[in-house]
Amino acid sequence: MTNNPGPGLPRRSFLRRAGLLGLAVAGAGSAGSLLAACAPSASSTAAGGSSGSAPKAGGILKAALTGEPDSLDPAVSSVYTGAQVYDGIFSKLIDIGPNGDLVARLATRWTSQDAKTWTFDLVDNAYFHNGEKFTGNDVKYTFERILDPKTASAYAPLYAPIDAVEVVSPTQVTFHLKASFGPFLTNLANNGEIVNQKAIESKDPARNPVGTGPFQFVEWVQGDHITLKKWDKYFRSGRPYLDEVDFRFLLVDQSRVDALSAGEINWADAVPLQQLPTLSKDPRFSYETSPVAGIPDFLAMNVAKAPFDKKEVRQAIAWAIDRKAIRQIAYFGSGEVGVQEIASGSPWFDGVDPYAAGPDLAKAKQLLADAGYPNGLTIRYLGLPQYPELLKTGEIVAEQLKQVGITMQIEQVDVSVWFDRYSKGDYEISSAYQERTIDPDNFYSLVVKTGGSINAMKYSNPKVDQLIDKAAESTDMETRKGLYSQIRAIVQDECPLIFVHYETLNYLMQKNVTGSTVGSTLELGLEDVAFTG
Amino acid sequence: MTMTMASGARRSRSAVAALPRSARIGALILVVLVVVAVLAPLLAPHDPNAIDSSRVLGAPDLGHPFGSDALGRDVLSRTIYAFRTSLAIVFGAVAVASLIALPLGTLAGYFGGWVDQVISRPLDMLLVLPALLLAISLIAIVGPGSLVAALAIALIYLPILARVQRASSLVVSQSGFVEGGRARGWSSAAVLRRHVIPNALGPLLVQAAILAGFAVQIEAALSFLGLGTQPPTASLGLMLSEGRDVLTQAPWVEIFPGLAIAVIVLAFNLLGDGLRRHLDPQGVVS
Repeated sequence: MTNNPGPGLPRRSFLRRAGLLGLAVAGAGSAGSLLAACAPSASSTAAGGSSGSAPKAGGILKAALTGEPDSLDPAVSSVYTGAQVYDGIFSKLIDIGPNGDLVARLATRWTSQDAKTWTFDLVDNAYFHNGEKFTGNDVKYTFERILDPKTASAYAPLYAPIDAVEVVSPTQVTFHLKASFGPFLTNLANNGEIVNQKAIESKDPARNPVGTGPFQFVEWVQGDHITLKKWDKYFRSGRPYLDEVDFRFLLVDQSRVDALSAGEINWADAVPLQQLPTLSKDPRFSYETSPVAGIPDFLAMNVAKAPFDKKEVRQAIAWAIDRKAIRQIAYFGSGEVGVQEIASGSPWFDGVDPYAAGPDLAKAKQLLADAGYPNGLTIRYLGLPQYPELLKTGEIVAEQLKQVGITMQIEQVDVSVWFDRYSKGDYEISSAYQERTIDPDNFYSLVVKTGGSINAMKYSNPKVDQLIDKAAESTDMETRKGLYSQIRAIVQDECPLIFVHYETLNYLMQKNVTGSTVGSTLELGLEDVAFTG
Repeated sequence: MTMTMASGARRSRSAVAALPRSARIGALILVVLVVVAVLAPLLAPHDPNAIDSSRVLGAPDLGHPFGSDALGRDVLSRTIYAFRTSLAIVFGAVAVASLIALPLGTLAGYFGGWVDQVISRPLDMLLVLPALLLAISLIAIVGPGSLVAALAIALIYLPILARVQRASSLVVSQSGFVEGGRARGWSSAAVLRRHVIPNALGPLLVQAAILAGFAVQIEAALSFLGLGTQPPTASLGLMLSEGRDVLTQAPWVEIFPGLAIAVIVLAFNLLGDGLRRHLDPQGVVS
């Protein structure tokens, strides 16, 4: 996230774009399980949390994003910055709280008759910004619209198990699922913004978002700013604190830091990694990060092509690389060493890492010899120059692989070319990433399962597929955790991908801003943000 | 200066001494740079690609006079090796373009008529395209790399150099000694070889020297965009691109390759400018 790419856009503005290609769909555990296991978000400064002076109502927050949204329609927006803005305009039935638990929003209560039927009681005091009262019909319309092929929503796979949404009364809806689906509630909390049919059909929803959220849309001046103002009839009392939020789009990292230093903005996304050590301790600012929210970066190997069709070659790479050095150099010591698809703060993390003792060069050389490459080999790395950390990872890996006799040639290509070649399998080895993995199902059913929409490694193992399906169907957290541990053990051994690093997100803000936390949905939670006076 | 020195006889006796001072300075700098590039493995204090986690963005000191970059690599060693990459690409590109432009331009200028049409019109079409667009298009088709970058630069320069050569051979073709050659019954090949090419070569050399300076910049631009030299090989443009991310924390990563580009461009420009004045037909006339 340090980004400041040459010709491209900053990384984080691309994150959701990845979603269009299927890179970004999230799942998650059942309600009870998430309640049971929570991971508190960390705050490096007291003022960043709630222990400073109390939040006061009023004020205009000027926030700098890393790029401009593509659309403000929650069903179609595919860039990360889109979600950062529309999250303030819309509400979901339920949300994921700062501790990773599910919290009530438009739904006050949710119960499951059996694993295939979920009933939600709804609030009676929510209004859309166009004056329409929120009812169960809006819930039905929202999910039918996402699932309608005409909407072409990248998030449709999240709700594919929905068979029907039944409006029992204006304040109650029932979801009928085709099969039991473990990640259902988390998916609702991750991408289930409720829209209004009249609003969608009257004006272009991409440019005129109408929700029930804490802020209503005022204007979007292309290339300059988006303004939101407080919604007086917001259904949660005492929220929001702010009168207005102005989003600016500052693509160059340094410009966000400069604008914050000059007091032109109050809040900025994505501190450049190389400046983290100084800025996170800067007395002028509060710094926020979280061990649960971020992006796993991994080395993907094309198992359909030589030489990575040999398991030993893939394992040799895993044994040859030094992930600690990569974290230290490419990520300036930030984030976590990559172990699994989720971070150490996630309730799903089991910490098992068969390559923890690495790097082991002797073992790597032995594996290469076993695979028929006793004198080393030459491999080609498909690099993304837009994402400096990933390309630097490639350069470091190339240097590390030299020690075991592997010559890794780097070919850097434009991001669109990369997506095309990567998804088609026209590469040998590359660095890739997967955002918004809250539930492991998201990662494994999309990236690892046979025919998964972004299984660019072309990996296929019927045993793993079976375990992935079983884990998705189960609604018991402990059962599912056990199944994911089994899946990981097989995948780590067969090694179609190597987790290298887990990038954590961060925000930097003026000292007098409070209530901003990094959540696992990567949204901003603006209704809780306030000035301390 | 040109007026006093420019006599054909003197020029051939002591070509270097006869050059204007600017050209001699330019040539001297280039000789030094070429020596540095050739002897890079001996001169570089460190392995240019050796990653050192303890020296990430390290400031300049005695062991690393130019500091270290974001991967802890020695910037001085990388700059020395980058000279190698950049000069090889530039010399290669200009040499290829000149060698193709020389026969094409000479034939077009000497024969004129349909020969000129066949040779010049396709080259004019190349000239219409903006230089970087042409280079990026070629790279998009073939794929990125140092060799492709060199070919792209050669493709940009080919029509320019061919045009210059065509113009000068057109002028020479109409001079008395060429007609004299023809009158003696020499073949066209002999006339071209003995009279036209030697006398029409000057402007091409001047143009090639000046364009070489710009080639350094094009190579840097392509590598900066990720289309030229591929990492981890050091190239001046690639180093600039890497340095930009850390400009406020470690300006040395950006400054030294930037200075290196400035020095090369300056050297080629001094040489080209001096050659131009030296070979200027206006000067010879006196």
